[in-house]
Formats: sequence, C-alpha cells, structure tokens
Amino acid sequence: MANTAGQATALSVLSPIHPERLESLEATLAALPLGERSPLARVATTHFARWVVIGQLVYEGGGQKPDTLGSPYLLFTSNFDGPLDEYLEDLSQLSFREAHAIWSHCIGFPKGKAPRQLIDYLMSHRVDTTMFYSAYPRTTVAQIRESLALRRRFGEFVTRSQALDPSALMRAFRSAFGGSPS
Amino acid sequence: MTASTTCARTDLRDIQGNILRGYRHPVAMHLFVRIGDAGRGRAWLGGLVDQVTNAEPWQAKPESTVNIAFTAAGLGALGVPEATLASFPAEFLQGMAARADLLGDTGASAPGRWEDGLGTGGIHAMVALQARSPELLNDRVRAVERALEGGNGELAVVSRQPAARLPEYREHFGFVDGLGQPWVDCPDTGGVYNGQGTPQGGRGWKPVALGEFLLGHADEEGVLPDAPAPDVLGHNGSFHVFRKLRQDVAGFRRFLRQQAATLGATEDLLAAKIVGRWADGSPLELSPDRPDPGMARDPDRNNDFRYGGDAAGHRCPIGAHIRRANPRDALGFDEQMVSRHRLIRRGIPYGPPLPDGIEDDDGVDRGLLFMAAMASLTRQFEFVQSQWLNDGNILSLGTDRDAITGDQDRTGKMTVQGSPPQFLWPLELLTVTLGGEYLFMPGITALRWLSQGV
Repeated sequence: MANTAGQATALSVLSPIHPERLESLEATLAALPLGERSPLARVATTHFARWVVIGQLVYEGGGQKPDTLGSPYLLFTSNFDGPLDEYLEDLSQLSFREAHAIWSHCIGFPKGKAPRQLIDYLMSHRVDTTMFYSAYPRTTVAQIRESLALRRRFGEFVTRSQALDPSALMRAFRSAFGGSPS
Repeated sequence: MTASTTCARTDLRDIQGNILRGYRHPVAMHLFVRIGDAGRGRAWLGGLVDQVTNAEPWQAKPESTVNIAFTAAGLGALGVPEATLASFPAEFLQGMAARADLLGDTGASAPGRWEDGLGTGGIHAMVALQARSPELLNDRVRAVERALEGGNGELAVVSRQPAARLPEYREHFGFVDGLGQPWVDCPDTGGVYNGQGTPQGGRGWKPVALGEFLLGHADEEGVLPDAPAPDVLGHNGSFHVFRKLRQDVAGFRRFLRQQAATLGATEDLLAAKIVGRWADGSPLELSPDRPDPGMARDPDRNNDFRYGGDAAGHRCPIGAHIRRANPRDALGFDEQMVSRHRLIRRGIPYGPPLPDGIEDDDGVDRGLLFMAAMASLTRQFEFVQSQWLNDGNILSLGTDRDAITGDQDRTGKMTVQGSPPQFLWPLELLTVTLGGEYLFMPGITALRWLSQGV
C-alpha cells in the first residue's frame, strides 16, 4: 500500500495498551518535551511524528452499530525521509529511552532492553498507511529547513533595502547573497 | 435526534437575540457577574429569563435589550453537574486565558496582564445590555443590578464594560466596521446580501448552514454540531467569544505617516491595503484606486466580490485584514476552505474617539469589545485567529501576521503585492488584548432549565 510518497516514507504502528497501565502511559506521554526538544525531533529526517492514545472508538449516533475496542490502543505515526529500516535504526538508537518507556506499556512488548527488540516489536505491529499525503514528496526535511532560512533571509533583505536605488540595491544583493558582477 | 434544516418561528423565540441579527443599538453595557451560591444564582436567572430578548423579528426596535451567557465556571457555579459540564468542548472548559499561546495573546496581551478579572476564572456570567439611549441603558442596567443585590452578596458584578457606537458604525482606527457577516440559512433574520454567503463555483453565493452558529441544527457537513448533553441544554445555544481589544490609534496614525513617507504612497491607500477596504467601507477588490462612497453605502454591492481574479493580490493584498479573516474563494476549492470557519461578529467600540490629527497618545483607553457567535470555538474563532490572522503559512506568506490585529513585535512585515511589491516594515503592535472569556449563550428554554436546577 501507500507507505511511500516520493522519497518520503510513512510508518504506522498500532499497539494494544495494558488497560491497567493506561494512566501511566498518558502521564509518560504528557511529560515528553515538545517541539525541538521532543525525542521525536532527534531523528532529524522526521517531517511529522506523533503518539495518539485511542481510548475508545467514537460513537457517532444516527443508528450505527457501536464498535468497542477490547483494550485501548496506542497509535504511532511518523513521516520521514528515506527508507523505513534507516529510520527505525535511528529512532531505536537516538530515542531508545523514551521509546522503551512508552511502548513498555503495551501488550506483547519484549522484556529485554536491546534496540533490536524494539525494532522487531514495531515491525510486528506495523500497519499499512493506506493514504499517505506528502506536501513535498521529493524534498527532505533538511532541504525544507534551508529553504525556509533562505526565505527568511530574503524577506529581511527586501524589507530593509526597498528604499535603495538600483545600483545600491544590486551591490547590497550581491553582498548578501553572492553572485558576480555581469 | 434528527437535524432540523430550517429555523422555525419557534426556534426564533427560543434563540437569544443579537446572534442571527445584530441589534446595532448606539450604547451597550456588559456586566460580568460572579455567582457565589448556586441556589441564589438559579433564582436570579429564573427572574431574568422572561426579560431576555429573543430572535423574533421586531416591527419597531425595542428601547433596550438584555442577553446572558455563561462561562464554564459559571455553569459550574449554577450547580450544573460535573458529567454535564464534561460534555462541553475542551476549549470552552479551559477558557480563553488557557488558550493564550494558540491565540497569540502573548507579551503585552498575556493573560497575566489582563484587566478587570477577565480570564481569572472568577467571572461566571455576562449580561449584555443594549439600548437606544444612555438613559434607557442606565435604567435597564440598574434593574439588572438591583436583582443581583441582597442576601449576603452571593451575586456580584465584578466588572462593567460599557461600549458605544462611533458615527457611521466606524471603529477607532476610522473604518466602517461589521460589513462582512455570514448570510445564515434562516429566514426572517435580516436581508440577503450578495457576498455574505459562501462563494459557489464561478458565480453566485449560498447561505451558511444554521448549525455553524446554533447548536441543534444541521451544519455545513449536514450533521449536528458537537453539543453538550442533555440536548435541552445545547439546543439553540451558541458559543460566544468576548475580547477586549485596546487599539493604539495614535500609534496607527504615526505608523501610516511614517510608512507613507518611506514608500511614497498616500496614508489612505496604505490604510486601505492593510484592511482591504477604504475607510468608508468600499472594498479594494472592487475599487482599488479610490474609495467609492456609493458602493460603500450599498449593502448589495459592498460585499459582492471574490478574490479569484486577484490571486496575486494586486488589488487587495493577500495579507489584508478582511482577506485573511474571510478569504472567500482565495484558498481555492470554492467554498470548501471557508464555509466551516465563519463567525457572526457583534463587536462594539469602547472609549471616546481620538480627535482627528492627533498623533500623540492621550492615555485614554479605547478599542473594540470584539464579540462573535459560532457553533465551535476551536474550528471557527480559534482557527481564524491562529491560522488566518496570526500566521501566514496557509496564505504562502511565511510567518507574516495580520498588520492591524496581529501579535506584532516590531520585526514583522506586510507585503503589499504589486509591480513592484512594497513592504510595510517593521509592523507595530497596534492592538492589545486586555482580557477575554469564552461563553455559552444558551437558548431561552435552556436558560429556564438551568434556572430550575438539574
């Protein structure tokens, strides 16, 4: 199925949670640092990644048959650059402590503490990402960051130089962004 | 429960006034009430219910009106059970102050600096009054306040927020305000004007579903919006945003003068580029070079535009205030990108106007009591505020924020598209949040239900 878009890969892992350990898992997730300090950000090829606790299925009414889960589930989704095995290798090396603390709340998680066991566990609970949309399928996180930095620099340049006459503007542009006189 | 697709007369008698149709009275007062005892609070509400102005069309404008809405803390203070409270959406339960980072209420606008007890959890109800004259307003306010007195002071007014229209329904920066409003799919609630609904592919407009603004009615998805349980509490109710926004009018004038000098443009044109309308209300999209007073006054024409023919923003900039707040067809996919993010705005200015020509701050507080009605605080107000106004990503404007209401820190810019483009920079902080509350404005039946104890 659609686990890739361009050079990007999507990973979805669905794990049943020990019902009596649900609160502990929620506390563990809530205590994670956010943004650049998130353990998920340590893998620098990550576009988006998150853990979601699915406590119960939403009943939308309207005469549908209510579905119930046998246990709460933990959903992990991640979109990243490059192939799956490289990502799992990075995740298991760079964020092992947090990953272990989280998935050890789940049924069937191995007792041992080897990164290899974490990778095997995630692979065995992997589900196909049936619809993966990537806004920039051929662009890596590193390239996007570079582009944003250039845009920011260019935005600052144009706001500060709009009063310059053409020759001064050309000099200022070359000194800011390089390029040789024609 | 099935979704009703129309709003019947019985609904209009049950829906509070000033939601579907604005009163537009000249003066208003907002009493923020603390309820220290559930029994006394319910008895007070029971006495007030029959006076609450509903949405029935009127032949003659009433001399004064009264409406009431509650914070989450206020519903708790009335004795609403925990399980019922928990059925409200999370953002309502958290309150506006807890959502400050999302809303851009940081720095000078941070809740720690808010005034009058707003955002502290100590405010339980807002009683909103409007009247045809200051005398009539005072009479009505006194009557409401008398009903709160007595006992051991369990009921108290903790904050009073007066407001008054400026000439021609202008706001303090000088623009005619409140022109763009959703055309709601509900007869008998006002005129049907071109441009107020949802743009249809190519031509024409369609009304926005009632359920985008009132619970218990089908929304744009054709289903009932999220509502508290039991149904009686939510039916014909509406979520309500109250924000006290201080406007730095002298700062706005200085900013325009400086930028106009730098760019060689007129102040009037720059102001129009920032807002998307000339001060008289005529839209840049239809009249890009000069104001058109005839169009400005004509409700059939002053909203009858879309942005599809101006994708580059040469007439109305992509980051202009009204284009951000309601992008119409500018985001593509016709109505699908906007129809779930509309607000009914019921703001009214507060404070005296700054006399023309003054560019030094006179130290007088003035601004807008921004109010808006909707079915979902997070999908409507919070989305518009955080994604369209206080960010530029969706509009391909990077991190640019709205020039007039954005959370500015003297580093931001606004691009005025054209050949060549011009840049307003650095943008000044012109609007500061002094406080705010998320409220729920129940239907009349629900008010009665609340007053009877549950």
